[in-house]
Amino acid sequence: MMPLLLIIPLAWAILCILLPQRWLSLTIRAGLLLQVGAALLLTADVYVNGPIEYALGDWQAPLGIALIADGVSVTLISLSAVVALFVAFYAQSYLQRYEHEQTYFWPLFWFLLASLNGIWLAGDLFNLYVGLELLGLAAVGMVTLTGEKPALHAALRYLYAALLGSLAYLAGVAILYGAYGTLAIPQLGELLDANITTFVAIGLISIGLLLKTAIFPFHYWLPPAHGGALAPVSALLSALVVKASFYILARVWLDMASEINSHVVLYSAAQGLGVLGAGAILWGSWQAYKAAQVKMLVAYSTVAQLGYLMLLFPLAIGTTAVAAGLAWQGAMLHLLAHGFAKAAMFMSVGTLVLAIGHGKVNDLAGVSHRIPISLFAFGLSAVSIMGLPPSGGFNAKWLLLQSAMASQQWWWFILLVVGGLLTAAYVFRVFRISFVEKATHEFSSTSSTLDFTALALAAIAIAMGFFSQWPLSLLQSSGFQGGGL
Amino acid sequence: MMPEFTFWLPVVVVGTSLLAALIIFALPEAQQRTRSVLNIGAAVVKLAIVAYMVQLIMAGDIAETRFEIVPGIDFLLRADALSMLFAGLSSVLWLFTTLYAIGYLEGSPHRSRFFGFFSLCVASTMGIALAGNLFTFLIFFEMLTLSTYPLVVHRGTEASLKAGRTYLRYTLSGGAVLLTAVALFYGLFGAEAAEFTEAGGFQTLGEGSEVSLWLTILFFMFIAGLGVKAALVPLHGWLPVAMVAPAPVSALLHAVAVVKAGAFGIVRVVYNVYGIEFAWQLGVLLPLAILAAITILWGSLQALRQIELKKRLAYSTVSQVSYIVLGVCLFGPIGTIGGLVHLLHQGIMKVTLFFCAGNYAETLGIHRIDELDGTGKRMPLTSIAFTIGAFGMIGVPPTAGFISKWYLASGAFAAGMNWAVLVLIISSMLNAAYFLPILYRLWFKPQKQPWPDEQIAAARFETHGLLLWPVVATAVFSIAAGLFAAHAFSPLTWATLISVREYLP
Amino acid sequence: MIILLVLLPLLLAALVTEQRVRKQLWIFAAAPLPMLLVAAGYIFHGDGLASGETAMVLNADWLLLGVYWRVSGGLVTLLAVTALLWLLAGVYSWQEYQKNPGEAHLARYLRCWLLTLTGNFGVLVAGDIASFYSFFALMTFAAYGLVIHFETRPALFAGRIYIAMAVLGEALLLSGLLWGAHLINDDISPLLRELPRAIAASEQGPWVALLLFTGFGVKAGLAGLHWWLPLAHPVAPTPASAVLSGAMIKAGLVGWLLTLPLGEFSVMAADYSNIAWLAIGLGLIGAYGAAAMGVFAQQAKTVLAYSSVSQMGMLTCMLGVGWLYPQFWLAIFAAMLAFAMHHGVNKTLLFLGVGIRKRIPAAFVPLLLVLMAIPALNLIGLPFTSGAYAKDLFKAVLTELPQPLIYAIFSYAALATTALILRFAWLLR
Repeated sequence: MMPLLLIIPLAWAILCILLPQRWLSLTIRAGLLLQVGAALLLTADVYVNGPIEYALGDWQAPLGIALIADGVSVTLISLSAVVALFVAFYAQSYLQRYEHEQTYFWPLFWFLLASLNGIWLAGDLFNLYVGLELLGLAAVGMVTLTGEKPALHAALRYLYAALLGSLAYLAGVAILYGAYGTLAIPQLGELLDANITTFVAIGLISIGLLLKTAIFPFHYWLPPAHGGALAPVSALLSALVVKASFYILARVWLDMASEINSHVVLYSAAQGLGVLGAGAILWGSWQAYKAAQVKMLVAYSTVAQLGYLMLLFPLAIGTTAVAAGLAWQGAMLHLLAHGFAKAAMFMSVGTLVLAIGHGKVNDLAGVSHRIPISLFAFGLSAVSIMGLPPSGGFNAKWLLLQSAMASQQWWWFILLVVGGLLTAAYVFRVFRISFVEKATHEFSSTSSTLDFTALALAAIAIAMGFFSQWPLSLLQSSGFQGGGL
Repeated sequence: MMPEFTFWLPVVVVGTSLLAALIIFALPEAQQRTRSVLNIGAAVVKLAIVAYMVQLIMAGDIAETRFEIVPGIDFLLRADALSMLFAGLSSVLWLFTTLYAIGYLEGSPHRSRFFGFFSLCVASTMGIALAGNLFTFLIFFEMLTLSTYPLVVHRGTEASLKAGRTYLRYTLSGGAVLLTAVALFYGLFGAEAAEFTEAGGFQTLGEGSEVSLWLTILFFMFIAGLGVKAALVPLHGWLPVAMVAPAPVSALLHAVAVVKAGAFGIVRVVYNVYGIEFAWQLGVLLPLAILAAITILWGSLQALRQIELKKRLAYSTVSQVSYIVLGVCLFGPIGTIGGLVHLLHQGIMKVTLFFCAGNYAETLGIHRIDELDGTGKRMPLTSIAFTIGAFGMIGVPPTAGFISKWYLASGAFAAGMNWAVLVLIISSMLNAAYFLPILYRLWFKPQKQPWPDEQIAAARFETHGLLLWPVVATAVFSIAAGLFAAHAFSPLTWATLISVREYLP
Repeated sequence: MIILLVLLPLLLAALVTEQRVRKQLWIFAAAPLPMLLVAAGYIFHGDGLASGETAMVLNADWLLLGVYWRVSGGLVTLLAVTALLWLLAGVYSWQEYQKNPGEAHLARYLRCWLLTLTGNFGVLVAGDIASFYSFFALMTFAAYGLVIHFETRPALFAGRIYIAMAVLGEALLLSGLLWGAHLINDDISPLLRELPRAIAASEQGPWVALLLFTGFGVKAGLAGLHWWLPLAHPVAPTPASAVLSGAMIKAGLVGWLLTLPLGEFSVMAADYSNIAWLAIGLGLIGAYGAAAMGVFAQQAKTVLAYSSVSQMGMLTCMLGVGWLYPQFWLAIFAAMLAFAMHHGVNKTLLFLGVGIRKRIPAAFVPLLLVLMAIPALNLIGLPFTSGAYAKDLFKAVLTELPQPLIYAIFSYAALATTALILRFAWLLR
């Protein structure tokens, strides 16, 4: 099953280039269903049988390419499969207005999906690097799709950031390989020593990944890239792509370095990561509050939300097992909820922008009765983003709060509560305008597919408020659970 | 194992409105008949289920839905006696408010959106009523905030948007405080203690000084979080501002959903989390009672100064809701009964008053009190209803308000808090001072100018039938709840039943 | 049965309509009639009702907080007199408004009249605290419509004072009743008759008694709380003044008699002599002070209003004396009832006379004045009048008291009444 998850998207990427336009629609749908089916089967398999390892081409570690499917990876695979499914349906409708872009979008889309799956399943640092690099290229490619000048400019910045990040990451990986002779995470976990070489390596890897994850203050490239791209692209980038590098960061700190991360250097660094997260929350929220363009607002919201993920490190490293467990669950749940909600948010905002023709927040007057369903989808996803119940976002926040209490780190507790209020401040800017009666713009009609795909994703984010026990139990069922917790 | 039939009942109660909300959102604007049928149908179904659950409780059976939502924490809906008090109120008043709203909004735009959020709001209220632990309560409490915002800003005018912003600032901050309190409570005392149990969970806990310190701090955090919705002074600022919303919304905010959610939450915290006897030992009830007393007087004083009818009613709500809080703090079964029964009584009476205000505004375009001169002749039934509601607020027998005040004052005496009686009496006098002039204008002053904006001409009835009959019905209820207070099926009897259970044997 | 009797005016009020009110004026007379007949039946038929007995008991524990209504032996005469006064005033109204079809707000007036009547009957039959208070409040608030009926500037002013005092009174009263009810342990809304004993048995009793004394005092025209009376009576329609002064003012007195710890009790936890002396003092101030004010009044009805304050002052004084000397209470109680009825009837007649004086041709005025001399002399208390009878009952008690001064002062109060009546006659001439 595991190789299928790589083969299907790669195959379809090629198919999308080769096949004529009129067959495209059906082919894509078939591929999506296959992809989702494969993801679900793998998930079920892992849920029942525990983690599975697979050596590509029967080359065993440490030489070959090993794929590992544990609870975490299958959860993330399901996330990307489901998000990709709805985004693709959305894109099919959305891109009807973008004839030219369509031809490049689909191959890149499948390529992106393949590299994501590669990252979720990879078992060693080098494969992760390869996945990350491919992912970066696909993502940058998608940003350039419209070919407009600002988009190209943003894409260029994105590319520089991605390359710089890769460079730092690669340097760190090289140091580790030099010191320990392996890149497989489980082996490294056993071998790592708390010495200066390791610290430098981990530091370089982290900086590289922070750049790619767009954590404050390395976030500068994200808003123009996410805010400037086409709506389905933004949805994919914000919901999935940035999560990939975070996932690697979490693996490095909590899995690979699990034995040594209570060392004072790493412990302090973890607190530092938390501080960066706090900066991201405050700065991102503030920028979102000030943003004039609604898509920039959502993009800055991503910057802020990624900050919450950073709290995983101070909460899980050097604290009690209970606190770390809660932090891990909270962060993963946040990742999932944010994935669904932010995709839904970008999609619904995309619909709104499509309908009124451009994207100033203040021009959204009157959308509440012209495009109610999209606005409602935006509302539902906002509930999760704000961390208000009932939603996956709330449950995630709850777990993080509990973790902050269990580890007696009150400052993170306060940050979490205040962060929710800040989020509400910028989200309600949109609502406020949307209820204004006097519409200043013509509304062009939009397809209801756009409405309902966004609504479906938002509904999932809300439903996670009631059913977060499922993903959480899956996360716990097997394998990597935030390292040796 | 197949869960029992009663496992699903609470979910169904919440779900009926939720489902109604979703379908209504999806309905096109023009399909008003379908929407109305759906609305009323859902309200009736809900009422029937609530009635059935009341039967169950009488038979000693408690419907309960429970499943794990995050590790160690359950999503818990439970139909106990206290929740039925609130659920009963909400479902009855929802029916009337729905009818009223259908009449009120006839011909106005965005009804699909309005009724959708309206139903969502009721779903949240039912959730609040049925929530069986703090976590579940919090979920629906916040959901209520979100679902009422679109109703407050419904008109889309600058004033309503501003009101909406104020509303959000208050309620979201309150929600954040509540979240903090609940999270701390779970962290410190565990999920067991956060479950609502009759007589509270703390009666057996040994009193370490640090534990009681924490419990005290948490108690006031709970109050601060819940107090925003219950409009305790100084957290009441949003309420008068929110008056720009349409009348059914004001009625809903004031009588049923929002302020009651806050007050009900306080009841839950005092009785079912801490336990009244434990809270009394802890010494937290007296400060809360004083806060409630200040709110009662302050609200009444502010009401005196208002010249807009709805604003006056709003400040009256500020004052009246704190009667409930005061009753909760009066240690002893009688005070408890007074507080609980006022939860219902205030709801019925206030909804009547707001319906009336809506009728005046909608029929004749009257918004200010000085425009009410001589309205009694033009709209007798509405004015009679208003009179009943106003007398109820003052506490004149045989209205429901009298029963509440009687029990509250008796409870205050029984608790040895004689000063609280003084507060009640002064408040009643202030109530009289701001309601009697209105009644005077209604009945005794001649009409001195043409109606500001007559929308609905007097035909067979004084106004649209759907605006009139809900008012008449709630007015009759306001009288009946007082007149037949001692009857076996009265709110008072139910409150008595609950009160008995909240005290340790 | 008793429900019907009490609520008959209320039901009739529901029949009144704006359009048909001219043809419904008979209601004025019909509303109190059945109650009068029944009460009179109890008094004159057979042995009557002894003062401890009750009849026509209604015990509805599902109504309000548990309702208990009865016709009690002690109050049945007062009930009959009250009904009679309402009947007289009602007949007067009926005749008057038939002649003046242009009268404004007639329907409103009739409704308020009937509501007030219900309240007044109810106060006399209610046996539980909650319904007693309900009726008292109904009477108070409904009477506002009677006071301001003409809507002249003084009437509206009087109405404002009236309602303010009424609200104050209700507040004091409610506090007192609630507190008293609390002292009776076992029940949320106990019977009125348990109240005096419970108050007497409690150390907080004097406070409760003080609240009740002042609360009812507003209605009873207690000196210091009487301000509404001289304002309201002249501006109200004549029949309304008549029932205000004759019947409703007595409701305050009934309140005192029913709730205060008067007489002898097995347990007496506190000393009430201070309040008793307060009552005596205020009573005498009322009796003399009102006369002093009244003789300077410019309107006949104002004089009568002050006379009411003065007469109620005497009753208050009697109350105080009875309170001070519990062993004489039963005798004083009888005297007070007699005095109250005597005053009610005569005052009503005088008020109605004032009204008639304005309507009849000049030739009949002397005849009317002669007729009116009878109630006037009655009030002064000339020998062989009802006034003399009532006062003698009281004076008989006073002679046995060790306080000769009270006797003297009380006796000279007759002078005050005389002065007022003379002023009244002068204004009416």
